[in-house]
Amino acid sequence: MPIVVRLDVMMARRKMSLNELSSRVGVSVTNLSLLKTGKVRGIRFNTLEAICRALDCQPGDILEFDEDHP
Amino acid sequence: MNARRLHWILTVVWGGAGLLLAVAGIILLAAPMLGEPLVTQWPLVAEVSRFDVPMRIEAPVSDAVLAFTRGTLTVEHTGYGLSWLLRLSDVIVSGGLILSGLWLLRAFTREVRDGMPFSPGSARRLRWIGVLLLAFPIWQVIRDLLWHRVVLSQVTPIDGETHLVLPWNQAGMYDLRLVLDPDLGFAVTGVLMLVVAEAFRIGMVLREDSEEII
Repeated sequence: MPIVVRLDVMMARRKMSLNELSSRVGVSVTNLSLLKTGKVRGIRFNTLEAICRALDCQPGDILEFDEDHP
Repeated sequence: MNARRLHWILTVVWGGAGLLLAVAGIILLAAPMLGEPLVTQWPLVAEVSRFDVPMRIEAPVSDAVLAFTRGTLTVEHTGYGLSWLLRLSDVIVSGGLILSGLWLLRAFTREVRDGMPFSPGSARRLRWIGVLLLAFPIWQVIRDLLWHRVVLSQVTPIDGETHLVLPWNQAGMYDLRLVLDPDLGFAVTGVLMLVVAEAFRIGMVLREDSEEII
């Protein structure tokens, strides 16, 4: 899918661990891990909002369109 | 009625059906040994509605007694002949279809009870129930055609001028036509069940999609 999840990049910039993000966003570590590795079909707006709030970023910082991505 | 109770009822029904099938099998096996006749009936129609269409005919055939009374042909057969073999196959096939269908329905209600109605197993089971329901009237037609062949091979004519004829053969004025009488209700229910199975398959795909959205 050409939509690439850059959650790991933003987490590294903010120096935030998966466990900490999980507790702030209210999504399980397992699901966040799946999201980070791009193994999900979609993301709900309220989840995206919570992640953006926790990482102090924009949706575009987390999701990227890359046509060459398999 | 909740799924737990329905599952329990279906378990009892399945057990009861199995028991009845076993009893039917025992009766079928024991009847010829005890000299008891096995009775089979089919609908018959007169080709022409007339006063002189016989209302009751009796004729002995090789291993059976055949009687026509007011639109019904009754055959009482004794011994382990071809008629008995057909009767046995009917018990095995019809009983097998009914028991299999009930078992699949029971398994489906178990999944509903466990809160997983939209699973690959439930859609597959519903599809098989539909196939079994469609197979039942088909078996009824095959069975009746075989019966008709057996009866016709043994009795022609019944009383000198009245013949039994197959459903698609040309009948004379005094002839009686054998009628195929499959239960089409099963076929309609089977088609509906296939539609429901497809709906459950789509529901399963939607559930999987939903689970993969965070």
